[in-house]
Amino acid sequence: MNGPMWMATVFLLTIVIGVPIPFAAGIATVVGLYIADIPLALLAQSAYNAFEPFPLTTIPLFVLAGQLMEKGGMSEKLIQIAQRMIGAYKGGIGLVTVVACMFFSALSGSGPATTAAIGSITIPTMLKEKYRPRFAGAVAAAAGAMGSMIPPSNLLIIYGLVTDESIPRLFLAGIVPGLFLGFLLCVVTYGIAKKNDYGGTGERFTLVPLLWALWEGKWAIGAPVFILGGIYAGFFTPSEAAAAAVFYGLFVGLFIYRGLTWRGVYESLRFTAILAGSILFILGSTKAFGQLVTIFDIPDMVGAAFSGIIDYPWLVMLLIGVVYIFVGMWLESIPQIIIFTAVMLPIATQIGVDPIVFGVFTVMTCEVGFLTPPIGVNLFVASKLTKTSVEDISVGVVPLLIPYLFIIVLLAFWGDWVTWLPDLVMGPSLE
Amino acid sequence: MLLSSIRALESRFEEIFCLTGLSVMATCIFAQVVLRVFFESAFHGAEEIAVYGMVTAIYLGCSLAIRERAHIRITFLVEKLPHKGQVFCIVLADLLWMAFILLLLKESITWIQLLVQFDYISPALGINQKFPQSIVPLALCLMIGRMAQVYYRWLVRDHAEGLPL
Repeated sequence: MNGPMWMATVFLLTIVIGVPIPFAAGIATVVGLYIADIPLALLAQSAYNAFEPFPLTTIPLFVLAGQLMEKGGMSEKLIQIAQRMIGAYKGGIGLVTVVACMFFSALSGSGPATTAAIGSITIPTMLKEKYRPRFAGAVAAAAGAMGSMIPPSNLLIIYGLVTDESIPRLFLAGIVPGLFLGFLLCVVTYGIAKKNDYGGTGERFTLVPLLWALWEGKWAIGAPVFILGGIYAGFFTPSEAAAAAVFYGLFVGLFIYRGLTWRGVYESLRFTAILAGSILFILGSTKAFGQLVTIFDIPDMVGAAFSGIIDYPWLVMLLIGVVYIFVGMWLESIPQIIIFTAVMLPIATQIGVDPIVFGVFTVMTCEVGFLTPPIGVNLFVASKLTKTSVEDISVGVVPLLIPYLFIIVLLAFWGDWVTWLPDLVMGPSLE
Repeated sequence: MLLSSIRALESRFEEIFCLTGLSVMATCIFAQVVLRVFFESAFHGAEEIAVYGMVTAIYLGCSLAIRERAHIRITFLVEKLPHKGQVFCIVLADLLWMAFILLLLKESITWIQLLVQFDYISPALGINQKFPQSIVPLALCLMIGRMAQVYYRWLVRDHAEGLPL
């Protein structure tokens, strides 16, 4: 066996017996360093240096901002707005869940957090309206996964840091696929609700209650305008926007909506710390992994495996998508992006795929990972909220995976629709 | 009184540093924006302090996650085994995990010794890097202590029932 094979074997074996993923990746890196005869001092050096890039602060800050906004009462306001927009249609509260998740995705960078924020309110209502629990949980899980696509997105930030691509450009690239995905999820939700006769009061849409709800929720709906508008107007860098979002969430939660208590602030900080410690820690244990990828020529080895089909870029992308979805079923998204982007991006650029498109493609496949057992985090969250089994939600979520898979296939064939908006706002990217 | 204070400190030790680190990080970056946008001034070193806050939160957060057993593991396959097999796998996984932490601790102590010998000063604030970078070996020691605590509780308090998760 060669170095990469040893690394992969050790990584898999340690994960299978229950070593937490950041440490399993660290152990595999140690094996790689040993085989390549590189001093282990590199490991110690990168244990600190990996965290020195300032843009990395964006991730814990957006997690914290999302927590504060959720606990501060913003999710209720967003649901009220969505309710006034589409709540009266067939499958109304299911559609409200999707639309409210789209709104909340623009505040939070995390899929599971979006599922929890919106699902905790809409799932009990769906159950009260006699929706089948597996469907109620599946809608919240599937719509919550949009949190990782609609900016701000923690996964796009990690991808930007790993590849040195512009984070504002990646955020802009996530908007159109995110909105399109939301629309497709609404279509599927409506179709299932109509078939099963779920909800729907049949009331006609009227503008005044919507305008009133928009006015009531202006601080919640204003948050994405403030965050993203600030970035693109040149007021903030993404890290600064995240810090501003934290204070915005704190101010609105404490003084405007008054849903936030000091206990809630403490819990939000504690949640963020545990998330940073259990997930971001992987950067410290695997920074040397990136160097090993180059030393062992892993992209060339993987590229050789694709050499027979290199003339068919769409086929290469589809195969990468299959690999990503399979890996995403087992691995957390951040480790997945860190480990696999270093290997797969050179192949994608070789076949002419724009790195920005590849970033959106990568995150879209990770979102499927959120929704597939055994490690579908959104499924776990939705299962807790509906008090039904993960297996049951996994069955319910299958039709809602269709929009995700459709967009992945679309991206494999045609990526220009993703770069259209960033090119329009920021100008074409330099080759 | 003293004992209860020590106990309270022990039960909230990581939280104190994590919460401080995250608060410092958010405040410094936000202060930088406020100073630039409203006062056309700059907060010299804000980014450096923010990074110190984040590193503290990440390393102490890692220890907190060990204490709370909040690290994400794939136990899907382990759960299919009989109880003894489950215990064997989880204990072996934790031993490997500990071995990695001990190795990282050894290497990071060597690294800090190098930083002590050869001054490495940060460009913005002029802080000798041996101080902030010492958070790595210190937090690793804390992680080892927390892991020992988890196992002590599992073996002594829970009489090795269930899993040490």
